[in-house]
Amino acid sequence: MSDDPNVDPQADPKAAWQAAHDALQALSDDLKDAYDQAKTQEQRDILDDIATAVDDALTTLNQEDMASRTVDIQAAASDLKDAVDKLTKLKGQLDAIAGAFAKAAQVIGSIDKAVSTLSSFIKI
Amino acid sequence: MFVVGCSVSPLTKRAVTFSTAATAAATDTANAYQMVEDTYYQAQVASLVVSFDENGFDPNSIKAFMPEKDMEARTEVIEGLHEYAELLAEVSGDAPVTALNTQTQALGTALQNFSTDNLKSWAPPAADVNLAVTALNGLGRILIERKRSRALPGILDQMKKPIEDICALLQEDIGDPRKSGLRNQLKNSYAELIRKQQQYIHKNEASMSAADKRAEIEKLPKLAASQAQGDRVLAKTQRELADMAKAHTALAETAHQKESPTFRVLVAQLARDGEQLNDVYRSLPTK
Repeated sequence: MSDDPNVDPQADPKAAWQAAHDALQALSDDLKDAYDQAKTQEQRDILDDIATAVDDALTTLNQEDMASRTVDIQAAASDLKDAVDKLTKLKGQLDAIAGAFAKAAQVIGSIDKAVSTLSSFIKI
Repeated sequence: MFVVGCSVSPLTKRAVTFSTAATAAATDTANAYQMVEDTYYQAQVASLVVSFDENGFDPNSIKAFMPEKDMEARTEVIEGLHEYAELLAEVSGDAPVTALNTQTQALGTALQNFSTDNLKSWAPPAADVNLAVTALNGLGRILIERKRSRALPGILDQMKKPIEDICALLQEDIGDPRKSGLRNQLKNSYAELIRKQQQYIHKNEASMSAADKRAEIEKLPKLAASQAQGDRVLAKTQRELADMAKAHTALAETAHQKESPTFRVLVAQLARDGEQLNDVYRSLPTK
């Protein structure tokens, strides 16, 4: 709901949201000034109650604004996942190069061990 | 001892530099949400303290500012940024070459260390082993560099727009102190904290000693100072996100260039943003 009569919430929901937020923010600031000038505790209590309600409404509007970007953020997270998968694959390919040398060293070690075992068994 | 060379491309060096700065930016962004959440919590507690005698305590009255589903999406994208930056550093950095060096040296040692006499007799001389291992190491490095230089530019280019979009969305989330987002929420939470503190003083001043009253009043300017500092930090985090998007774009666009002064300037700015913010976020009080 917009407090600004010039904004059509159907045509431009973002502008309508901002108009409502601006109006409430101005009210919140006015209430703060009024609270600072209040002379009695009764006045302060009333102003504090109203200001708390206005703050709650502003919080709700800020939560709505955050929620309006959640779908786009989820889509962006999915793009990131795709890039992370590609980088993980590349890392695997790079690791495999060093892994090939590790495998060769392992095979040579195994051959050495096997020949050593066999030679002591069959006395070659 | 086996001889190993060194040939890291300019792109991989730049990717490592970017990754360090981007990791810091992702951490700062997570801290921004946490700071606003903590302040919102403190404002609710301050409100509870003032209204407790009248309304008592309803456990459901204390809520998070960010609804769970919305915060999960942010957490996921920030963790994704962390992972992207870390993997970029892993594939671009020294780790694959260090692993290659270790394994080729192990291969050389295995060739030289035949334990059986039969194999010792036909084992190649140490000098030949050294030569072969050095050649194999060089070949491995070429393979690593070739794989990196073929795959990295494509991945960076593909991520140019998503990273720009993510940074823009997170900057929008941080918002403006009067208009929207985390900065507005922080301003309003502090306004509430200050008002509730004033209410606490006014409602209890009759039973307070002069020293107690002084201590409670002294909290008011501290809250105002914390609000100003918090907003400055959020504004800096916003700039850091803008700098991260620019540095990533420069990294992707100069993937095939030997020198990139633009990238150097942008990434240096991003690193400075991160250094300044890291200390500030750590010094802020939490709930």
